[in-house]
Amino acid sequence: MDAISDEQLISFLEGDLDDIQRQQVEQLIHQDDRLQQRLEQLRSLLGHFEQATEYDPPADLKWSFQAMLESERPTVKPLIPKSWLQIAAAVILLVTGYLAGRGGSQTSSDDLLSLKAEVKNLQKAVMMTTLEDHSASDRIQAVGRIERLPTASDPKLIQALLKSLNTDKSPNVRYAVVQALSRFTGEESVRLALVSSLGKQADPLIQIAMINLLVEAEEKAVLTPLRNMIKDDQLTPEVKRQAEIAMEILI
Amino acid sequence: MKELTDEQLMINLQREKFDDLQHLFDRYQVRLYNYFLKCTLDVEESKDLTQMTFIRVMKYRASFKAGHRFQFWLFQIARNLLKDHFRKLKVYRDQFSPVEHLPEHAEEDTAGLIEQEEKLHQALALLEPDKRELLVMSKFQKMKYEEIAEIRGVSVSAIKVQVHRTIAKLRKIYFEELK
Repeated sequence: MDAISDEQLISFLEGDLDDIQRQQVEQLIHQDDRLQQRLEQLRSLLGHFEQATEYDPPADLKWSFQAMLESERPTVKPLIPKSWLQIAAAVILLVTGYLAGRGGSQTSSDDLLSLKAEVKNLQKAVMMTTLEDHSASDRIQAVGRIERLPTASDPKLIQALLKSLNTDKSPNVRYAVVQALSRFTGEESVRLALVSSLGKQADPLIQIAMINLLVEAEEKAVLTPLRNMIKDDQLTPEVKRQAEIAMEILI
Repeated sequence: MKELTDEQLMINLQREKFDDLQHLFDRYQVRLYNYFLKCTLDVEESKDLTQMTFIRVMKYRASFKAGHRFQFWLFQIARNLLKDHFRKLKVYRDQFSPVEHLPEHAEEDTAGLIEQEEKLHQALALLEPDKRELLVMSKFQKMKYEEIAEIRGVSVSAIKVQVHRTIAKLRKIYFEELK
């Protein structure tokens, strides 16, 4: 059995021994080559921990966290100031009251339907305005709301999304927009707008998301920007690889 | 404006200031990811576990008590997820092929350092998951014995003995068993 255990040597290295114990260990180390070797091995092992790499999390961790944060919010804060909501609510109440006062005729039910449609249009308008004038997190929320709209595609909303895709400063917003547009790739105009936008995107995550979306939609028009991307020496290797895979699938 | 502490952000989260979870995520995502990565040696699992930790922070925010340190609470959540992970996958030492699962190194790393780190992870993979996690906390995360003791709910001296014993075992694996 060894005169000094590894555990004691570690305490020695960590400066955890009292003076007498430390002197004893030092003395024994000088007399015993094997002990000295064990001490050096432990010292080097502890050094390896110090030099170990700290890895960066994959970039999509942040995206999925933000998506989680949005979906887990129990309540969503209003996108327009409370005062506006109050005014809109008051107007709706007034109009509804007026219509109700006119009795249950066919005309009033038609008016109610048209009022409902107006409110929906107002909601859409608010979402589109929010895409332009608010903070990045508000803009992401607005994209999320558009994404959740049950209605079929609305050219104005799609235009607003495409505009954000090409002009929004925040890559988070642009990424959310790509996700939202995935619902509309059945429309040729949307696919072609995505193809034309691909060349303008510089963020690798967005480039990959758009390539995947267009491959899933089997849009061959993307072959031209893909060829250009593969030739581009500045392009991130992961994106280039994705572009090559996409070309193999589509050709 | 003075930066809010983790605990203040957590209290804000309890008051439904949900954007403050983003700040906590920004502060801890790298640490948590590396904690999971070095315990599981799997990039995809580590990403999912990191995400799940924050989902639980959000879900169980009401259970965080003012006066406690956020870091301990966070790592208790992370440890529970890690234990579930090992239970589910029944991952034991002979099933690991660790180095293949680690991310590629940055180009500036020297070949010697890569080799040394890969061997360290091979050796760590041969430890029991619980012991490996102990060294991840102590040596990679650089937590003090007192902090680990608080997270694990045992005495400081017991943690110290366990860490020393595990390093001794690791030395034998690294220098005597692995070629």
